Amino acid sequence: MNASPTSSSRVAGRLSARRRSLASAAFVGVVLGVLGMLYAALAPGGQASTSADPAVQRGRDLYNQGCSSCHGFAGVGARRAPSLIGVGAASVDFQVGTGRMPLQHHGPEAPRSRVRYSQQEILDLAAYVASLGPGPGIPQFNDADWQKADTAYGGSLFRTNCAQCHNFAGSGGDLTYGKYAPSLSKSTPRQIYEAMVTGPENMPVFGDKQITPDQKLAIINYVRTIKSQADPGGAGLGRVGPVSETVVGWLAGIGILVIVTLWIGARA
Amino acid sequence: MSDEDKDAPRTAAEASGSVFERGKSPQKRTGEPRTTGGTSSAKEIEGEVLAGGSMGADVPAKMRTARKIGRRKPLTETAAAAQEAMFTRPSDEDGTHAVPAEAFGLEHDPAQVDPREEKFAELQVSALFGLAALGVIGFVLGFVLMDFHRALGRDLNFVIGGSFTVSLLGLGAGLVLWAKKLLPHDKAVQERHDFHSPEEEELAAEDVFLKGATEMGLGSRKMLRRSLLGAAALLPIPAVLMLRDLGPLPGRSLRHTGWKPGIRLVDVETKLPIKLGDIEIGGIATVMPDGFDTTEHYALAPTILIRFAPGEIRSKKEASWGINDHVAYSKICSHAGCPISLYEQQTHHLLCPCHQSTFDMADDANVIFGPAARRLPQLAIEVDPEGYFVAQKGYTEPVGPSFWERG
Repeated sequence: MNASPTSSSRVAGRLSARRRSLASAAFVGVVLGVLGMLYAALAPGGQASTSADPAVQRGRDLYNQGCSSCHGFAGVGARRAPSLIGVGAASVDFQVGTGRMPLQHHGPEAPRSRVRYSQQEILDLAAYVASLGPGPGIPQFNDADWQKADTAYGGSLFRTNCAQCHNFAGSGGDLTYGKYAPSLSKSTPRQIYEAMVTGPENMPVFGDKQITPDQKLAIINYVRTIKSQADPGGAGLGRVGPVSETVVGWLAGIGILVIVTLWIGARA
Repeated sequence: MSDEDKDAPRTAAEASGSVFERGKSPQKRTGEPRTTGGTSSAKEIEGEVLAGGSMGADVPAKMRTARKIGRRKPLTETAAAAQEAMFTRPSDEDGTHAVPAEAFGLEHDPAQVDPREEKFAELQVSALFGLAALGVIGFVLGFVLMDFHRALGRDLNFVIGGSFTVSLLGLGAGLVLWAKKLLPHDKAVQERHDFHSPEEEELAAEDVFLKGATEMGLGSRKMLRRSLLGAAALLPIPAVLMLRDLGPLPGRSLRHTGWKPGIRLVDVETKLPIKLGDIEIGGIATVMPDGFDTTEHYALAPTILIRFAPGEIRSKKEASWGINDHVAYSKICSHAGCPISLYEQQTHHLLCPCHQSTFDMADDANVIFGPAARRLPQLAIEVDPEGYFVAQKGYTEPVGPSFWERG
């Protein structure tokens, strides 16, 4: 196909105006064709995982073995699992690092469970998924960073943005149709941060422009502080305050008294 | 007790001699294991059991029908007769009658049991008292030895609470067991005295009242009587007058939320305006009108700003009142006015924590579950030239729960 337009362009000068316009159209066609072939040869294409980074390569192997049956190859997603393109390394570190992924069974909520991968494997998986598309990275901060954050301010932010679902003491709570917001008692500071930036499952996303990294550290400090506080009564009862304490006091305490009274009456 | 005592009357009721004679079946207080004394023949017992009737006091325990908790055994004939006799006979000085256990069909006096059983019961009771003592020791040790600051609210509570419980329970259980196994099971019945006062006291009180009324001159001093009645009649007026405070009617105040055209949406916590792009896809923020304060004026203003992924909003009206997949809705539940922001970013459900009303935020806050009767009102928003979210106009309908004049 290339031969004929090339020859006609070579003789363009001797040709009539009508044939000359035909020839220039053919020339444009040739240039576009060459550019297309060059692009196909040089562009990275769909195979982003051809990266030379060894972590990405190890992650791809792990991914193909453990994740691709649901999420599809190259993270494109499938009918029973969402695409992982653009979820970012933070999402992988949270989901796999809390044992929610690999999913144990289908249901309204994926519960925290035993972590199935080593820390290195999780980082490899995260590096691979991060290479599929841009997304939030694993937050980098150390304990001193959140420990010096403002606890009171964090508490204020927590009650505005988090407490409606997670309870003001972070004990979690129920949502619709069997879903629930989990307790934060086992969450590490990094996992709390990752949950805020990625919005796992039905949790809303709280990006860094809405809640700044400093504010996130303050929230983390609040969650960790209330977790470390003692329950003077011996049992926290979900730390939901006077309601649960009264219910237990009346139903359990008075209930036992009534039963004992009946028993004594029956024996007398 | 010695053998001579056994026939001596133990109570006034016994001394007077009567139906109790039968209950006082000859029993040895010491020596041989107890036997169930009986006057009924096997044939009589069998007949009673078959007939399902009440059994005499002398029916062996094994033959009695099992007790059910909470239902009192019907009185045996003997016991009924004993009770009857008790109230027809002269009482003790304080009106107390003692009725021996046998008369009520109970087992024999525990004091008459086999000495080996008695010894065992003593051992049981003192073991329980010993447990109570151990509980106190555990309490003291726990309180003294445990690190107060580290263990408070944790182990210390369980140790001292648990040990004190053991101590009280041991003491109580020991006393109960003592009473059940080692004390005689006689019943004491005391008659109530009359409730009304003696006639002379009633007459005296009447005299005092009439004397007072006469001395005050209620009959003769008409002006005093009338002014007293008049003043007393006015007393209820302040109480009735206070009902006025149930009003005035709210007027338009329930329709006012503090949102006006062009007013910026600010974060309720940081009080900073929110720019297009600040909220990530799947994000939610609680916003207030710029310049809000904590007075009643802004009580109905709380609003949630939600960002959807492109194409997720199913209602055309919802999309057109929002901008770039951002929409704003009242945060106050249309059922009972609770603040709602339990938002599920994948299902787009918004759940009210008070009564579980659930709104589908991708379908113009349609109620899909719960007692709420109306959708949440939407706040029309746009973006000002600097890129900040502003309200296009105030809410077009009253937010929050229904009220009488809402229409």
